[in-house]
Amino acid sequence: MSMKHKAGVLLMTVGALLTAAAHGNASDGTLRIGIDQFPTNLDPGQNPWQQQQAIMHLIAGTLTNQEPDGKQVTMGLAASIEPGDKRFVVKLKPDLKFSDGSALTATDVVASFNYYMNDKTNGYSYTFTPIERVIATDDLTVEFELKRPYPSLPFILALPSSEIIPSESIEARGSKDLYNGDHPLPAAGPFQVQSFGQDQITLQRNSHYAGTQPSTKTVIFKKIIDPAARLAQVQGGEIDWADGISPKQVGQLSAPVEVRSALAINGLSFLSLNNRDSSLLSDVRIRKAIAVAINRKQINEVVHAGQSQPALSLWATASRYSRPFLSADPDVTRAKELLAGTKCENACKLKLITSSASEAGGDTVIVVQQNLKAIGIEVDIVKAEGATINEWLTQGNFDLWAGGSFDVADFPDGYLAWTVGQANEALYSGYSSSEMNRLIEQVNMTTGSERDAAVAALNALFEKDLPLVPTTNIVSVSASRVPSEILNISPTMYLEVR
Amino acid sequence: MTEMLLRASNIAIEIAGLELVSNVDLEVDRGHSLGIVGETGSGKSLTCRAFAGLLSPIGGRISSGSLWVGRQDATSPDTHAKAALYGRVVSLVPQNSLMALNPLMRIGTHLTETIKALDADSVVQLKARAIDLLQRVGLPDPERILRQYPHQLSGGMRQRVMIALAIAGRPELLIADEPTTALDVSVQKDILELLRRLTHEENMALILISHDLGVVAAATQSVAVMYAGMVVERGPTDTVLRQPRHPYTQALLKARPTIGHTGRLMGIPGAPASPDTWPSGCRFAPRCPHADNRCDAKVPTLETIGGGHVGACHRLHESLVLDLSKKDLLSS
Amino acid sequence: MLVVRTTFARALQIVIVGLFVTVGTNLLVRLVPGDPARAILGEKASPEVVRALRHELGLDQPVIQQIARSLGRLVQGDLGTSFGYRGQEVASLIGPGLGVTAGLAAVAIALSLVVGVPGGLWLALVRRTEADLIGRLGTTVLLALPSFMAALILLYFVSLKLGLAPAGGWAGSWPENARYVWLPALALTTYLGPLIARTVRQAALDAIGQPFVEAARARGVPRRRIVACHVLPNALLPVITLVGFNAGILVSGAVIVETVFAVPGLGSRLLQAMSTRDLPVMQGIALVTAVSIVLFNLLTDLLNIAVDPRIRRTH
Ligand SMILES: Nc1ncnc2c1ncn2[C@@H]1O[C@H](COP(=O)(O)OP(=O)(O)O)[C@@H](O)[C@H]1O
Ligand SMILES: [Mg+2]
Repeated sequence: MSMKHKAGVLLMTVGALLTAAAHGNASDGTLRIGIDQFPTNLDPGQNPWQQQQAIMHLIAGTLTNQEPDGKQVTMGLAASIEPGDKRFVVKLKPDLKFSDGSALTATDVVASFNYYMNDKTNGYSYTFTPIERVIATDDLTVEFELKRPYPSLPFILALPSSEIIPSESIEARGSKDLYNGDHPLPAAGPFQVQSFGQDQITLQRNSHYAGTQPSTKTVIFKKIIDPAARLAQVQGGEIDWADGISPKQVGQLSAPVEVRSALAINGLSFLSLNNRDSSLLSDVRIRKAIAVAINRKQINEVVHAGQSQPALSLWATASRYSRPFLSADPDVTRAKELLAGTKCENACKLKLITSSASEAGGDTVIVVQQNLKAIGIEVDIVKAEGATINEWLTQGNFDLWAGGSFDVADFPDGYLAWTVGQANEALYSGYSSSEMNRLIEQVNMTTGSERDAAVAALNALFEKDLPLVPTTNIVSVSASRVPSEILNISPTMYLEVR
Repeated sequence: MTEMLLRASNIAIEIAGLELVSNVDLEVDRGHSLGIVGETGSGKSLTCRAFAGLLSPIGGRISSGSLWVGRQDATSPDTHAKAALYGRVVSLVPQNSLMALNPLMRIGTHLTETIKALDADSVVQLKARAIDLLQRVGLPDPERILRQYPHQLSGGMRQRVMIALAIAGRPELLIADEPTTALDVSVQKDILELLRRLTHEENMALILISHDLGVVAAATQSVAVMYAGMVVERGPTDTVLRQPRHPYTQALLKARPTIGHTGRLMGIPGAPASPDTWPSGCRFAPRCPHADNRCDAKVPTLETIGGGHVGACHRLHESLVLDLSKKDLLSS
Repeated sequence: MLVVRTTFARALQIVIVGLFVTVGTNLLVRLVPGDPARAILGEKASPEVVRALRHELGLDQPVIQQIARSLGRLVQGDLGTSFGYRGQEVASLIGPGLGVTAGLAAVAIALSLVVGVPGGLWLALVRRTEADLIGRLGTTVLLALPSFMAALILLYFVSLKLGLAPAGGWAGSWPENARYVWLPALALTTYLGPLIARTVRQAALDAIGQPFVEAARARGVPRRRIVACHVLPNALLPVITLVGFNAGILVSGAVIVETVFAVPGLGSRLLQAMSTRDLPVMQGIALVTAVSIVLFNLLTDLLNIAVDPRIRRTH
């Protein structure tokens, strides 16, 4: 036997010995979750990304709680909410406590919202703009005074960004961020922070939680940036849940690892079209032709391995506002009819951008390129890193963007603003319609049949103007080795830990 | 009476199927000193490798003839017996010995590892023995030298260290392969003097190899002249140098003062024969001013001239007396 | 004396490298598009909020001023504070990652030596046989294999199929890390090991052909000792330089391998910092890496001086 060979055998043996020293798993009440992005601090206004939200969701104590179906909220820290046109009155549950055992009262609620509303760098400021002020009328009563009717407020109050944090912590906040790992911020959610690092965040059941205690004692989040590495670790038993794996890898899973997926209740993958005058796509006929030429079934198969669903309206298929008008199959003849008389009648060239980090985006653009070739439109695919894409979108340096947008629950405000409104630069398609803006306002401020009528009018206008082309629903695919009753992903895109 | 220490009868040496050395007949008695001279490439080093048992590392072997070292048959494949011979009975100071010391190893370590390998009796007083060896080869301040690295020593000192290493096993026969080449003239003398003294003091036999007849003349009792892998003349040093009978020896003597760096004898016209194109007859014939038909047809064998003087030349008895004044003697 | 001179030269190099890296990363990051504030706040934040954060991070100041400020801090040994982990010292953020990467690299170097040196020596001893041929072919194949491929192959077979190692992760403390470190280290070894083996083989062959080996053999020095004391030390000399030269490649390899095995080293720090445009952290990592490589080179310099007596004299 050669020396090299001997060394190899030695290594294997050492490895085997080390592996034999096995360690904890789900059966002892610990869940280990591999995820690619962590909150960078515990400030609720500074962690907007989906994975960050999923973690914050387990920590944050909120006045209302989001139901996993994304359709309604239940009472959280609040015992009751009395809605009104310009004023919501919130009664707190008695004897509420933060995770450190200190009392949670109306003072903390007011301090929290004041902090969020006054923080110029709060990423969720748009959720607070309709609020005039928040005042405590007694220890258990808080009044939200509104600038305008805000029927979505109960959903807003359930967001982790509306977390109630101790007023003392807010006051003590110096120039340095208080909410980092060195000083875990007391919170009132189902779990409390035990350790907060760049690579591992450990949460423990919060014994002071006002709601039902989860059966899970400990949740360990491990930052695993590479999806293939997450998959390997869940398959190897290093973690119990690999968040956000590629749908195409589902076939590689073997027992006891199973796939878990959920379709977002609110939001879609779509092609954002540049409606600015500088783009060919300022011509609505070309936009419509593209919408008709896209093969949504094919995108679902190729990109999402059939785990998603074609998107046939502005809204997610499961949304209460959805009114399908598109077809899952392409109609090349109709598309060509639509192109007649446009600059793309014979041939034209469009720049399609997508983030190089997004596998789904990368696959989508290939199908789109193929679909549009059938109607004589040549598509130039340009991939760039996420931050660069944002810049191009802001500057209008694109024709098509394979993107999407979603919100955690079925309320219209944010989603409409990002898709057909003019709310922000990063998602801005350049579409600008005062009629649409008026309808958005109407939808946002009304309820019941009034809102239904407004949504119907808005949907009709969307069909007419078609500033963006829906492709599929948003799907999140994960791999898990624990029962879905213990850990699952819901249409809110939150992780539900029981 | 003298005791035979080494006897090579008719040995031929082959590397990769090519016979590089042929029909070598040599003897060394205890306490005797033999010189081997010849141009570069004439097979001197291969011959002493054969004597020192070092053919196999370069892929060579003794393909015919017999070689006795001490009382043992050195052509037998009994490696254990050989291990007991080399270093202890026969020891070699290799050619190019200035590079024969490990640059990363102290002189002391060189000595101690050699003592351990060759001289089991001295293992308990390694250092004393190492110092003793250095003193024997005339190196001053041996304690300091033990701690030094090869590059810190001069060429002459390194050669002395090599000699010290060679005598560590108290050999009966010391073979020094071109021990003075690449040394300054004054240092050459010292080294030769050292070899002479050592063989004398320790009653060692010596084989001294050189391409320089002068070196051999100064230090040996008998001499063998090699040309193209063969011994062409052999005899007592005095006799051979005074009355050389082989035209090649005569040419060597004539050419002596003009030896160049390469060891090539500048005075002999023509290039030495090369092993893959040995002439079928006398190998010196193409360069020999006296060659005739016989010389091209048949390889001459060693014939006795008298007084232990032998030569291999068809015209050996025609007394081709060397006339050193006659310039055209060696021109072809 | 030589030691002092070498150390001084490397120290000077560190200063120059520090200057270039600081100015370089500052300029580079500003040349590529992407706004750190937007990366922190997400695509849904309003432009006013993004502007406010840019101001808070000092990103609305002229580039020259920002560079001057980070250089000024650097002189005081301060790497600044992170954008993403707001208010946290860069040094405290990347310190642990540096330790992890250094640990991984050290284990990889050790493994590579353990495999490469005896392997190369053995190949030299069996030169021109089938074993040598196969061994050399093997090293060629391994050298051509990219680090991430090696990592994935090892992950798949050793970890998932054979279950001999965890499929990635990190314990966070020694010696518990040993369970996790050996497979990623082995992935790095697939590059450095064969490289060392080849170098050792060639150097050993050179040494074997040297007169001093032949001479030692002639003196009756046992074969084992010739290999161990004459051939090996001479064959090891080029390895020191080789490992020194490959420090940079080793670090970049580590970055990739760390990603595959989810090892929380500088690699994952760097990836995250790049995706969030966390300029101070990127700068810190670039600086720390560059300085580590120079320090590593200094170490190999000193090692060379220590083992090779000839260098001590000729300088
Ligand atoms: N290791 C070897 N392999 C092949 N040929 C060799 C080897 N060593 C020497 N020779 C050849 O053998 C002949 C005699 O060489 P050598 O004994 O070294 O000559 P000398 O010592 O007289 O200069 C030369 O032709 C040389 O080329
Ligand atoms: Mg020679």
